[in-house]
Amino acid sequence: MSLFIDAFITSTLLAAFFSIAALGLNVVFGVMRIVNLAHGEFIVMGSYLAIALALHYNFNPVLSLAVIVPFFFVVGLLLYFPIVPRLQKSDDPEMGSFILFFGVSFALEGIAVQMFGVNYQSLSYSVFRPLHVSTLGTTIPTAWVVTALVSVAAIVLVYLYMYRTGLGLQTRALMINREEAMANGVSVNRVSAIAFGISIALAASAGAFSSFISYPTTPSIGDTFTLISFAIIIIGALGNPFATVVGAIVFAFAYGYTDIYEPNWSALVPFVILIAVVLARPQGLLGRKAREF
Amino acid sequence: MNFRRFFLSNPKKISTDAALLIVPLAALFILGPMVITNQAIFMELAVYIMLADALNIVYGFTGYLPFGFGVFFAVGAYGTAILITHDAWPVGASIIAGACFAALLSLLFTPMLRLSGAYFAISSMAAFEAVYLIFSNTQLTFLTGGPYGITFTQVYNPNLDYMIAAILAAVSALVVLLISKSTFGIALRAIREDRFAVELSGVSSLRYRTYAWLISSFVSGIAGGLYGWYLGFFYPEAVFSLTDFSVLVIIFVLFGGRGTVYGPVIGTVILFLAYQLLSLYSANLLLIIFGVLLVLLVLFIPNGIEPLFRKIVKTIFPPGGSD
Repeated sequence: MSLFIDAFITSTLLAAFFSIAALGLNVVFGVMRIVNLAHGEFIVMGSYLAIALALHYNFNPVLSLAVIVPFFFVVGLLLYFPIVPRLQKSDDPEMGSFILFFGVSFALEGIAVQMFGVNYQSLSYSVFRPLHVSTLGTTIPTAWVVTALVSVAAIVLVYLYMYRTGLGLQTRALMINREEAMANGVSVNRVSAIAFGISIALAASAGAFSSFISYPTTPSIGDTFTLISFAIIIIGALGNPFATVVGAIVFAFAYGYTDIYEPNWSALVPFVILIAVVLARPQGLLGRKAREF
Repeated sequence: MNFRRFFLSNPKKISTDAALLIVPLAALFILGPMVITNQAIFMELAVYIMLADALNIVYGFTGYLPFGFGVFFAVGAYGTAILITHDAWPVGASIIAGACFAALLSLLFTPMLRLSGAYFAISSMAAFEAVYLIFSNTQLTFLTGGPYGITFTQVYNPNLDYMIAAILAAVSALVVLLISKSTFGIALRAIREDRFAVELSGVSSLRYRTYAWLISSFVSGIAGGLYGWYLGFFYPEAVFSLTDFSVLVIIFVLFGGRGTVYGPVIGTVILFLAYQLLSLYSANLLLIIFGVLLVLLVLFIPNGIEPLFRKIVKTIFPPGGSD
């Protein structure tokens, strides 16, 4: 029974982390209808920055967010303006973006190898004291709890931006109906650029904690993060940022429980769920219609 | 169905195009290994040409991008390897059977063809990952060798393999040519332009997409079998590589010109050789250069370099050249 509770707590914390890891990807798809295949690489880059800050300035990852968030927000803006408007004028932006951002992820991976080498790096659990906390008869690293709390805070902040600000209102309008939003004077470029910046900043913030809770950081782990993020947002609903949380919960629990009871096959489960969801209900668990004849 | 019309709507111009495809390829595959004495490079080139042509049939003609399409390549390689090691099948039969496995797998995946753009691309990526995790699973070591790889050096014969691969690379280019000149090809291109119009004119776009998907996976499977045979031993990662056998091929096709007859071949030859050259200096720089190249390609020349090539051919052979 305690194994069951153990898996439950771990899965809950994982769900919080994966929500923030995948949220940005869904914001970009929702607003711009483009697919950012370099998403995972930004998680990796955020992770490297957090590790570097911890190493040189003794920052703990929560503190390093003060650097990571603005830095990657600006990176997002810098990437947005030369690429996205031009891409959206092409005849098939969705497919074009797939290939284009794979190129970006290639380049980022190359840069990461160049700068940080190919060895595994992680933040140490010991940045947080006490090392462990105990609840419901199980002991979990404090770092995991902090990760989950920061993730929840980030999701709440994005929610507030979307539902309590003027720009957020414009963002939602753009997600629901692009043409009508434009006809009603939504400034597409400004709203999209900010959404893109937020997305990259979210990915990088997830990266600051990724080496605790998921995989140690290497340049090549980005693809795995991208795939997981995709699985999550498709299980939830593509283009609906808050369905990401539902997707993350399904994903994390499926992964968490198989990891404990059938560890050989746990990596397979998320993809099987993804394919099943896509075939049975391609719009995702909470989405609108997506299938064609 | 009228099969003659189905396959050959325009038989006259085919011979010129066929010659334009085969002669340079033959020259390349015969002379190439004499100039650069490394047969493996040209073996891989032949495999990549097959893959590029296979991808072109699905992505180029119908506009559906199967991001994880390398899965058929890998299954072809594994099918071949497993039949040779466990059942001692002759190589030729194993490769064909391996390709049939790939085609069967693609049949299993046909429900995905109902999905639109991004969903299709992503779910095919997930399918790739799922199949990879099954083949590399430690619990299937008795069959696939699991993460420890699979060995079948008893039939190793690189020279024969190279010859077959070179011939089949040319054949796959011809298959694309035939498809592009047939009503089948016209239907596929129509699907890319406007699925709804195709459906309205009484053509089942799903059925045609399924045919394209089957042909494509079969060709990929053959390429995989030949490649596996050439290696004689491989780890799962050697054939299940999303970067090497899906993305790189997408880049080649895109660079050459998707949906064209010459594009995939030209793109593959130029970029693959550039890739080999670059990787002599720095594998890392390679990632960055190819990444940036990909970004520029999508933004600035989405139709690839095939139109440029066409112009050159027209200046060399002025009137009555290729169409």
